[in-house]
Amino acid sequence: MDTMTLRTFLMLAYVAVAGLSLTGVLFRGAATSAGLTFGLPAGLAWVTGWSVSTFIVLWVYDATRPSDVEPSAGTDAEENA
Amino acid sequence: MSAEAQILAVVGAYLALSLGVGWRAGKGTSASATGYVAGDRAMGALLMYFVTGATIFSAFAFLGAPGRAYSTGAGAFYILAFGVLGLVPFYWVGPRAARLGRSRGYITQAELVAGELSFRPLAPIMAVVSLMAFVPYLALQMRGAGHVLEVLTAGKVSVEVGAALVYGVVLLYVWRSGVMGVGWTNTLQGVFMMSLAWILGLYLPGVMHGGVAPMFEKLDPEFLTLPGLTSQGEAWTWAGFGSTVFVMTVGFSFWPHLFQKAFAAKSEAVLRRTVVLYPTFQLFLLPILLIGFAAVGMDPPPAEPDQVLPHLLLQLELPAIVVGLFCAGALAASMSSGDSILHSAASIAVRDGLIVGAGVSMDARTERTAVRWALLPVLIISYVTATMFHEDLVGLLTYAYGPVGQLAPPVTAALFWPRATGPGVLAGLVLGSGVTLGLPHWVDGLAVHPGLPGLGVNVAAIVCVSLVTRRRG
Repeated sequence: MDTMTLRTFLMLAYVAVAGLSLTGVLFRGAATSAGLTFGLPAGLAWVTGWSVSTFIVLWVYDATRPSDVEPSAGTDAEENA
Repeated sequence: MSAEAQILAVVGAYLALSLGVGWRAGKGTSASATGYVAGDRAMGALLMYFVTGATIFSAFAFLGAPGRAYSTGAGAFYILAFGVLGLVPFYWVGPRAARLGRSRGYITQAELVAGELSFRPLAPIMAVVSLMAFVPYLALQMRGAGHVLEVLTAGKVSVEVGAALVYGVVLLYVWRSGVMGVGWTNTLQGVFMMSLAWILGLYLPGVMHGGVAPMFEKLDPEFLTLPGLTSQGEAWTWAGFGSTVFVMTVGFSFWPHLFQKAFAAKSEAVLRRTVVLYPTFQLFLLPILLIGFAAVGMDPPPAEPDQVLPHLLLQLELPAIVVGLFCAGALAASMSSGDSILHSAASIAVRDGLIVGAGVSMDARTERTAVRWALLPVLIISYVTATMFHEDLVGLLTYAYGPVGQLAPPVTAALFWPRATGPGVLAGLVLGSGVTLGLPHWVDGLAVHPGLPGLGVNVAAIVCVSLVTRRRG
């Protein structure tokens, strides 16, 4: 698999996990009955971990982005000043 | 020194610091509307991170999130869930909007949509929708600021005086420095709020329950099981939970004051980096929820769930300086949203209402002056709303969220679908907003968030009407 395919696969996997979480497939019935996770209830530990994993997924996705040319900043300021 | 005097001294020092930072922030930007509204499109990653983060976390989040955890248990986890996902669409939408803004001079969301679709009537209509959402939102921030000062000074500072004092400071730095004043004060406020949230979020469970884990072990596992309870105290369904997070995620990036920051970013790379970093801002909300759980079962209970945090601080008889710091943190939450909304509302009124909508012509300096003067009526109307409509504000705000979420399909269509037309987008916006606002009145016991069918109707209307109409120009 080349980098582009891996990158797309990573994002699709992330979206799938998000979808499964929000429809309750992953966390139906998850509670504290089995004990706490890192001192937190299962649902809270999950959404907290989600904020970290989202950062990691986006970071990898962005870091593997093909480079492009961007316009320089400040042109409007020069025109309007 | 009395306790009230110490609290007011801490608050006064915080307000003076905010004013100082905000006042100096505008140095170096051009004397044009682009300088005042979009910071000459030169905002770096640090400012963008705190602007996007602190702008969204309002007084409602600082006071409402603990209340939600206290009253709905696991139902409050949705706040973190939509916050994590909320800015992800901006990874694709933001850079494209920034590129078009740079090349065509856009500084507002409505101007971009109207310009890309060559359909001028859209700008004032979207401006009206934005302003209708902004006024109750800003009024709620003012009430939150005034309420905190009133409660913690035992009524010596009234809600009206407190709100006027705090928003007088906001007016001064926004007037002087525009978006850069918003950016640098948001950075200060963001750091302050995050520090305070973690200090209180660990301290309160510690003194009340012996720690975070012992606190959760005392609570009923059912109370901590997703999807938890609704705000009415009924069992929430997964359809309700998931659709609420989905609708709020879709709408999050399209709040006009947040979207507008795309035009202020230094580069597209900075915007993408901001989206990458943004989920980490949610870690600030975790301790806020812990505070709410700490209060479950306390005697006496707070009068209202939203009063959990001030109630806890007063019941525990903490030193006045700690209460003053909390008070300043709550004001920071209020101001970091209020300043951005105020600045955005004024620029939208001038650019979308006067210039694009009414066709008034003005040069860049005159436009900057007009935006500054537009701050005053926005602030006055919001202040009057805050002081007159005590009971209905939260209801108004709930209504405001509906139409704002419906901005997502029109903006996305204008940016990514070449076949989209002005009438199509207008039809989607009107019908989607109508369904979202009307459905709760038409259908009892709706299983999903009304915004979800609203978005469906919105997208269908855009596609259908666009296919039978033609884009101008």
